Amino acid sequence: MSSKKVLLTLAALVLVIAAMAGGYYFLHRYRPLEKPAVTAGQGQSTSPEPEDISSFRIYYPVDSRLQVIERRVHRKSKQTAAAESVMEEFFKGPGGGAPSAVPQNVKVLGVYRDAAQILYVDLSDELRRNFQGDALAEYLVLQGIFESLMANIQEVRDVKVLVEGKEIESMGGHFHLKFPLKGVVSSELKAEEKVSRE
Amino acid sequence: MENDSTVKKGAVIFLIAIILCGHAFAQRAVEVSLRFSRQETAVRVVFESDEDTIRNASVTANPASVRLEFPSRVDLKIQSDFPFELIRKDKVVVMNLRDVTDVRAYRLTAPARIVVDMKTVAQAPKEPRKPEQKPLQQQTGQTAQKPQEPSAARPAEQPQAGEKGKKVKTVMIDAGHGGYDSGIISADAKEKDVNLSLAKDLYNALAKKGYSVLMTRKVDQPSSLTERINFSGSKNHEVFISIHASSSERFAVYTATGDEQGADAVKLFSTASRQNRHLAKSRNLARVLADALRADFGAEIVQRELPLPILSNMNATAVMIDYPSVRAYAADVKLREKFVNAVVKGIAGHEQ
Repeated sequence: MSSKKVLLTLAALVLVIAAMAGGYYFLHRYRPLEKPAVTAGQGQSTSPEPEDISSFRIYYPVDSRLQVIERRVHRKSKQTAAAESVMEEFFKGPGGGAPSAVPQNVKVLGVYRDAAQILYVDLSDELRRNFQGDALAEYLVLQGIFESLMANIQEVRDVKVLVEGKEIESMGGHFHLKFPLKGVVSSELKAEEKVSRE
Repeated sequence: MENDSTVKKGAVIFLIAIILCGHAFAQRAVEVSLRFSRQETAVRVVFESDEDTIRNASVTANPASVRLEFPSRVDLKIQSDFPFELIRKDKVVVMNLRDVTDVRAYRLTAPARIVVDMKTVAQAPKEPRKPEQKPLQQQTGQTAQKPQEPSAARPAEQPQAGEKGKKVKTVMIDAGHGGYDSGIISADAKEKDVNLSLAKDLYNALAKKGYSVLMTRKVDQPSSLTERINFSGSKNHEVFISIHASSSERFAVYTATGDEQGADAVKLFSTASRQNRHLAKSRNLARVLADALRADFGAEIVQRELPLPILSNMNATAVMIDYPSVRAYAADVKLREKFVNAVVKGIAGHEQ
């Protein structure tokens, strides 16, 4: 084999290795950590949208599960302003007379993002005072907040809820609220098992 | 010819070098040094690495565990005699904490580091062993009567000793909510009061049957999840039962969420390893309790897994029972008795 052929083979192998390394790098470093985010404006509506309207997918606790409802709001250029809109829509509840554990009259006092891409959602004390529910209801409210923000706001790694600007121990006495929500609500709920056999 | 052979040799060496470099690149781990310092009631743990690694690491901390997820695989250099259990998996490091009441994590620069400050409980000097307590019935001399209600004056951690000759099981009862946290409010009835009332009745019924019984609270007082978890962690008990009300009209029996389907990073954190080894027993107790409640009430019982911290952090068989109506249970003594009897039956039917 001539040295030219060897060099060509070598170059080809280097290219293959480079392509594999590139593929590895892309898959492992740039693969999204979370499930694919549904960004504002990717709603399923077929009607043309005015330019200043966005669609948000809001996860409402209804009965013993989360129900996704699409809401349309004025488009916000800043992501933190969009996150405020998402939270305002969430705390309006699912509407339509559906029973929901979403506490009433909760005001969104502010949304901030830190360098680690953690979104801080500052809510009024009604979150704690007006919550009336059991462990499952509390889990679904927290999961609804988390999923609604993760689905609509880009580049968010986690969500932290504050009440009147402070960390509080718990919203309803069943789950921690002192810590970011991802570790609290990311377990997939299994279907309930009913014991009614004789 | 000789020239060709040299090129071939060079090519082989070059290829091996490329493959080795690629492998080294793929396996490259960022070095993170882990050190700690300890004072009487405080422990400081410091993770130090390069600026990118520290800036892009996410930290989730609670008094049971601290979880760090780094942007790439890490090579931990750990100071000897590190006081906490460490679980490492690729980019994730979890510290399982003990005797920690509060934890704070923050990032600092120059050098880049994550500092985790923990408050720990002071190590009390060991008390001399007390003589075995007589059963409550014998203390009061009222064997045929209802045992004395647990009073607020008696420390909550004093268990009731069991009958002689009977295999003693220690049960810890957790009356949910308390103090400013009323739980569900229905008309004039507050969940915290009904929970406490049921917990006291259960305490008496179990003590009568010879169980050692502990309670996380005996009066209407605020008690955070962390305080309950720490209190439970400081006592030996085989069974933990948390009593709460349900928003629905059905009983619900909860166990912690298991992570046996693959201990990925999130699940590694969501179910503290303390409950993992008790999950099978917890599920069995939930099943037995659900059967007992169904038999006595003829109602449909919901069994569910939830990542409840009060269960996930429990180093014992642990369930949470939700009864259906705060209002009904506040007003109806017989309903409360029926509930307590069903729970006692369930505990008795549960094989440790």
